[in-house]
Amino acid sequence: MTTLLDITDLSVAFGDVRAVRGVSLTVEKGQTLAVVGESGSGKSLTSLAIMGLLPPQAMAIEGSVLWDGVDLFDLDPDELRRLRGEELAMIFQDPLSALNPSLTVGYQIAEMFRRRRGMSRAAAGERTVAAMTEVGIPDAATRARAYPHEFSGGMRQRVMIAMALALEPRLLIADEPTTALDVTVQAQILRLLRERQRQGLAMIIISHDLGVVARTAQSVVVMYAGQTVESGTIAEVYTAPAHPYTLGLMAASPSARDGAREIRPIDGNPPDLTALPAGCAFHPRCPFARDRCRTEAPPPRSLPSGRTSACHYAEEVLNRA
Amino acid sequence: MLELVDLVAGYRTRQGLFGRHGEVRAVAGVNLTVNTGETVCLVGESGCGKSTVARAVVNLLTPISGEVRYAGRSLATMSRTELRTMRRDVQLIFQDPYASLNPRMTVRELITEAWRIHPGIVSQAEWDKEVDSLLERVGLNPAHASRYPHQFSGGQRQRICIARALSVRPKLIVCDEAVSALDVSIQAQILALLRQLRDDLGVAYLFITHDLGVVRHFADRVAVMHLGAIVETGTTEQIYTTPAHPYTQALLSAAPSVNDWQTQDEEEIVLTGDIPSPLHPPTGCRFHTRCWKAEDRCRAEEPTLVPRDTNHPVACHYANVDDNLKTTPH
Amino acid sequence: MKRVGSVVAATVLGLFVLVALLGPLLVPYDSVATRVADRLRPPFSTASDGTFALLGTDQNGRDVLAQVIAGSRVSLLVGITVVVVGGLIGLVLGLVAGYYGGWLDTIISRIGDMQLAFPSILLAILLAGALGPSLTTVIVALAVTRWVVFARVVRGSALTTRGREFVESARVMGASDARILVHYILPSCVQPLLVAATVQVGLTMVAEAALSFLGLGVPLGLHDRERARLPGDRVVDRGRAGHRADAGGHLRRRARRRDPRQVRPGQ
Repeated sequence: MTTLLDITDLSVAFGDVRAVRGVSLTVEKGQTLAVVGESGSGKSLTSLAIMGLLPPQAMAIEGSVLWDGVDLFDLDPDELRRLRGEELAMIFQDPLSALNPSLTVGYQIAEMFRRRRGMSRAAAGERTVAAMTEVGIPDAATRARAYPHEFSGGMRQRVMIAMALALEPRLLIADEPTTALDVTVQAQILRLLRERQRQGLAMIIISHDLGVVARTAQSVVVMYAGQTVESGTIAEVYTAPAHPYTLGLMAASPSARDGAREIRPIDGNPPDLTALPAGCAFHPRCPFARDRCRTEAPPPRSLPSGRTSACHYAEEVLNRA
Repeated sequence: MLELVDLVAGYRTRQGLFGRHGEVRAVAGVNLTVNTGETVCLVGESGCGKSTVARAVVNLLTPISGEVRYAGRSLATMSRTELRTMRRDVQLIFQDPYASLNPRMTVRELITEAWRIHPGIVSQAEWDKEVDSLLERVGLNPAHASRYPHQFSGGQRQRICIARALSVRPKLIVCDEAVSALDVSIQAQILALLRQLRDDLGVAYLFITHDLGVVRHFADRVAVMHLGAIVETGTTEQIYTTPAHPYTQALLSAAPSVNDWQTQDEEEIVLTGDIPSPLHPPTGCRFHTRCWKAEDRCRAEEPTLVPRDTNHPVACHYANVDDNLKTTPH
Repeated sequence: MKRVGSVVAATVLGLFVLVALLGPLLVPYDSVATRVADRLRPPFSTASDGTFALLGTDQNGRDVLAQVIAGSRVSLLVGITVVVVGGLIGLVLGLVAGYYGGWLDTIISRIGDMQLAFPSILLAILLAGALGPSLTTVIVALAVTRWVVFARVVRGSALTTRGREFVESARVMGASDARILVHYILPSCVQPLLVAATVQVGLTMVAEAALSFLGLGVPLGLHDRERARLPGDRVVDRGRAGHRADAGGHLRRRARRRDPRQVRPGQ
């Protein structure tokens, strides 16, 4: 297994707010990693840091992001720009704001081919139509001349995917790709992404929905208050979570087809990133919390079989689940 | 208690400079009842008209035809006083907690407003005590009553909205996607709160959502809506274990679940095509463009909601409870 | 940085207001009385009666500084009154037009459009001609033309606010239109209204000055109730008396109707 992306101890801060604190994760070739967390967990910022798209107010960026062995933070802007699109691509939550509303969809996709591959307009046009058909947009040749607002939400997301995959990158970062979509359309988009996976695309899928990532990813990293609290394969983590937050998230997740399970909430409020509690960030809401949790912040530690958990009492959580 | 009879509602559009008036029938003939203390869930995706139903129920918009009946009386024929009473009994919680509270009013003012508008519910001397008790009931700290909405998080704001709705002692609360904009753990908290209020106060709910997963253990009855029409209704048990309409089956299959990592592709139902626009609904059955069972009859003839012997009405020409369900309900 | 700027701005404005309010007490020179012996003195000179003219004197011997201060009082008074009156009218009409919409909005907006299309100076002349120049006329003339600006600003705010969810929430609660207008719509209209008002105060002062130049403004020497003749009077008088442009004849004509106390030697 070759490791495509290796992030070690990534930290990003905005003034007082330490939004990402010591995040480490790896993505293997052809594998999909899910980054799960709620608002304020730092998951989106992590992906923006990888792509070099952090907002200008971001400061104190530490850690290393190794792509194929090269630290992305060491690259100059031109080199990073070349990587973006060719090797690394990203799609966002709201396709309407990510697409230029005053340019036709075909133009925007063709732009990738013309700028990066130097293709002629005609050749780029053909490739665009092919790309759009591949992502399941019917009548692509006509639709290429339409504007983003003339598409439905699901179709716009397909356009985004076509644009992102146009140059055949090795890694796609999908930040909440289906959150704004209806559930039946979501199923279609996830199926499309799975097809691409089978063709060898590595992916990072970011979501707050454990159910959405369940079908799409092979490994998962759970984030809370800017830190990774648990990581492991989907099978491991979903069968038996090793962190109280993951346990709580699973219990709180909606279940249409799982009749036996009632939704149970996690107590307390989301963390205030400007005023994090001492010790473990999750302890005010944790049913397992003990004295040690209030004073000592648990670092992510390895458990047997390679999974990690940032909890003093991870074994207890494991056995309880 | 609440009855929707052949409700047709929507809005007018103007096309072109010289105003050819069109009419979008977001709700095209809906029948629905909510009995006292019952929780009825209306499920559907965007464009199905469920928000329009919510607004028609609370008299925020006037139907094109059909009736909304509260306590046997049609809203259209109610006098001013009767409407005021209706407003005390029926409240609405909106989807966006960031837009549904007046940013210039404190929490206390927001809650006491109901008693200013409807004197007689709580005597003025008791106001402060009542505000504190309401805030506690919804899980907020009474000491925060003099704060402004922007000082609270999304989940807390939704709690304020619930407290505000409760201040008039309603009999029915319409929740228009009330938890959809919240994080999963907060969503679960608000749902638990709503359930508890139902147990404590006996309040009825018309819970409108696009997420079937959220209401399985909350609703008594479910109605599935597609493009302005109800395609299936039944008890929760019936809908979740024996869904009869292809759309319901597809919705159930598409609903994300944490057990999905064990599901195979073949077990999924994935619909083809887009959700049709309410401006140009398909001929015949409104679902036929995406339905894998569609036949010629579906393109020509719109199916009506047929009760069938199981009291589980379905609007489909080929509804068959024992058909080859691609998803195994648990 | 921002704080320094606003402190400076507030100080300057405050000075203007203070001078306007306390003016005559600060500079106890009669702004109206003429002392021909002191005509056209330069700034920083001393007049014949021993008084110190900071800004000199005009062609009639009146102290310029005193005139400036007297003028500023009038300008400020007119500016603020017009904006308050016009603002109130505009607020009410704008709220009603924006919130209710429909034919009410159409009527109010079209009246406003017609108002704006008509040049305000002409309207002021009409009113001044009909009612005679006075402080009230000036205020009425300017307020009548100003309300549209405020109404439009308020209407825009009202339109956006009425569709917002928290307003719908109030309706669901059973709030009456009046309650919604006062507690929900009005607060969102106040800010843009204030911004428009501050701009309009300045513009109103300029408009008042224009009217004064044409002889329709607040008469100078208001407190003396004497009418002073200003250069612009010639224009109006020509129309009224039907004289031809002849300096001598014109003046002779004017001398007849003039208050004897105002006769200037040498003319």
